[in-house]
Amino acid sequence: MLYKHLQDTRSCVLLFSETEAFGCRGTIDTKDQGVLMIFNQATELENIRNKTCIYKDTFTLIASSDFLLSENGISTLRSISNDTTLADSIAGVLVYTNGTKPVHFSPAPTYPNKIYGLYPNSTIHWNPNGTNVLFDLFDFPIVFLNEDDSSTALSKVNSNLNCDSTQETVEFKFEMAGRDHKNASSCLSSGTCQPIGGQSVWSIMKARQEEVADEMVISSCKIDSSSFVRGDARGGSAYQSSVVVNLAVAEAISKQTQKKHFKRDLMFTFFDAETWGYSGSQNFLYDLKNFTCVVKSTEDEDICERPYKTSLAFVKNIDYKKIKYVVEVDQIGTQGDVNNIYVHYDNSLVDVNRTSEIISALGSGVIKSDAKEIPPSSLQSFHSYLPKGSFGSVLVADYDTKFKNKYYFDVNDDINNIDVDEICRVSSKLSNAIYTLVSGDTTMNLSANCTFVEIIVGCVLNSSSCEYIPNDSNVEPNHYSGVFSWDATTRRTSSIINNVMGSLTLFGEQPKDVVSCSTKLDCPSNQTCVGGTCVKSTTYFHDAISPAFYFDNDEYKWKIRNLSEFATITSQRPSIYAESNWVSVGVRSFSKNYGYYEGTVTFFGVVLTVLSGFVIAVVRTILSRINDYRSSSSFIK
Amino acid sequence: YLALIGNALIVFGPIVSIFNFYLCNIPQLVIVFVAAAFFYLLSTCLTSAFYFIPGIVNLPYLLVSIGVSIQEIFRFALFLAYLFTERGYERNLKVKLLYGKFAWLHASVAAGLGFATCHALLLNGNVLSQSYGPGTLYLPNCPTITYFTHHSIMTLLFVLLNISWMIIGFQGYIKKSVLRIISLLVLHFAASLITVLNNKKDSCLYVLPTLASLVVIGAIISTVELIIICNKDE
Repeated sequence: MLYKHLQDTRSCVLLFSETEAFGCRGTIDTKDQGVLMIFNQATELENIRNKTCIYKDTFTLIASSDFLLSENGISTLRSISNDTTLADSIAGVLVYTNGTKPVHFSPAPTYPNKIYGLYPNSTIHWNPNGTNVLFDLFDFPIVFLNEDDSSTALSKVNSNLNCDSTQETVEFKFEMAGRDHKNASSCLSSGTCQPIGGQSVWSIMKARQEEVADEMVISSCKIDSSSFVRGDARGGSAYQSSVVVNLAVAEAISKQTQKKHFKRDLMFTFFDAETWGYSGSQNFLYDLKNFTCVVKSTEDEDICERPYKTSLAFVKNIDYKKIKYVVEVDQIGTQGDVNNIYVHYDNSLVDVNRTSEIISALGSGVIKSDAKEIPPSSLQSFHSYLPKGSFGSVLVADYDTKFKNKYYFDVNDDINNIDVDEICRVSSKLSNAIYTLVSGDTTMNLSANCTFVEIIVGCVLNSSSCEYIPNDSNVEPNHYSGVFSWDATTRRTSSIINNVMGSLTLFGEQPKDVVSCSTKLDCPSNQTCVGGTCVKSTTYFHDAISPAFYFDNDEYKWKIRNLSEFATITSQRPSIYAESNWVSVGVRSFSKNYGYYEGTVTFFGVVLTVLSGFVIAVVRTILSRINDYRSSSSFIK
Repeated sequence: YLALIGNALIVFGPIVSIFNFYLCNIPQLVIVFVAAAFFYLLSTCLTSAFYFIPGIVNLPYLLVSIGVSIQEIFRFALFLAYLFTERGYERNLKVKLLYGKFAWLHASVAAGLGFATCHALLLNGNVLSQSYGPGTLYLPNCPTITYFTHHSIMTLLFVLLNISWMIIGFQGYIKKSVLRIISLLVLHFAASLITVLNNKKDSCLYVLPTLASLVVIGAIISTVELIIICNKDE
């Protein structure tokens, strides 16, 4: 085969923050293909450059994931990137897998989202295995191969080491439209990138249907993850375990039909895009405090045209001043020797009495964390937007002062990194705690449905189809929020949560006519789309995009607000993250001749053409001397 | 694109030279050239119908023999068409189609070039298009040169063979010479059947030299024909 297109490759993309670009810049035409050379040690790089048989000075480096995704490997990659001469000669890096798992690896920082939280000067390293490579910038593509292509690529390397007559070459088609920009603002103004965001989901179980209760309890979690390669954001313990727990709690409590026992409203929140400076929780709380619909839709009073919101239910159903209890579920059930439940809170921020109430409701078997600060979590958004001391809050996690998760935001944080039984156990504990808080009833002993837990784990962490998504297909689990879209169907995780919670929060008489839908916009007013059908439910989507962004309807593009506007609303810095548009992503390998071969063939062709012309001219002359050649062309004698 | 240019020049350079310096000033020969190309195309279409016979692709020698036979039939048909046209031209317009003692030689060269050009386009057109791009391909049958160069050289040899075969053929049909016709068939079958060995390892070490030898033999026979024509009175 002339060209072999490498299938199922996964690559890192180019992203922007407020001040810088990070990730992988795309290829440029002059440096998009390189001779394949293996490197599994930093010292091999100089040997590669000194190979005199290599015709072109561009290389495609291939390294094992073992080496590259290690401290040594990351350090080598950074040294290549910082050496301009060397980086200019790298067309790209291929990473092959040899099936082994590192002991630990995390591409995330040691304190994720630190500058966007309550403790920008903190010295805690929540994620001690963090390498921060997520936020490095590489001037070349880095592509991860599947197992089949890994062995093919390795076999081709050997001929290059032996300086055979052909060079095995890899070409990258990896065009990042925002390549030439340095930050999000520049990129957005040129229209070559889009803000990162997703769709959060919130559900409310009201104490009394038509009224807002005096107090509200929130059970919250994060739903997105990231990874060095965005498509590898498996998010096992971080944070699909918390999604499963939160859904299991909702499922257990929803069975309590005697909601007259509820004295408080109960809301479940599933925040998306939290990886990117707590965008989901910030947007939600910003809207709760600040939102005003300038132009309502004339077709559906529940929709706001400007600024665009697909549902205004949060305006009608939530009064932020009544939020009195917030319980956030963090990483739960990470595989390890010991399973403990830790509670985290910051005494200086919380309503101490209400916080004690939460801990009491959790019962025995929980350990107070030794950390004086709340871990990186949506709780930090709650504390920055809501008045200090106005609510009790606790974060429940399986770690104390550092993550138990050895693969935080790595592809190895998958279904094998969680203990499903532990997740079910914690779900039962939390169900009782939340139920106690909303009803005051301490006699009920709720249990989570472990079968339901297993189904949800399968939906979010297995590549098989999920019964909660109509017409679902087998897809590799990926929980990277991606670029923002108002269309919630683009976010599979959010869709699963919406369909589960939607079926648990049906109210009143359901519509007699079954109306099919793909989004809420297909449904009549005051109905939502759950599982492909329009129903009356109290589950809604909410945009999970940093409040720093706004959409300019006149110029039809995203812009960044003046950040000084936020000073009066929150102590938290709003994040700015965007992803470059990409034109095409693909990799192919082929054999290539040394340059002199093709030149020789062309020279030979030219000589042959000239020679044949000369021979024909000579033959014609001879023939015309023997017989008058020209007279043969005469029509008339 | 250097590979594409180089390989295209190997195949089509001589064709263009012959056409440009030999044929293009003589409209009759251009018409013969085009007609011959069309006849070759028809022969190929008919040959391709045999590929639908189940299992025949596993009998390459049989398939090649069928192809060669059909081509020879169409060569003869081309000769008859030219003869018919020449005689009709003379009878109705009272002038000759071509003048001079080399009229039949010119016609056979034009026809041979027509066969060769269509053969080259069909055989090499798709391969040449694949040679555009950075990638190359080496096959076990010829590991020292690329597949594209090997294919171009083979096509060039067949271009030269087609011209010499047409010269031999036309002379054989005009003179009703069994010896010439048999020589033509032997040369054509030999050249075509040897290509079946192309799928063997290092086969280009004997296939290409064999074809080159046949080109030389064809050139010698064509030269002898030329000498015979020279010595003949008009």
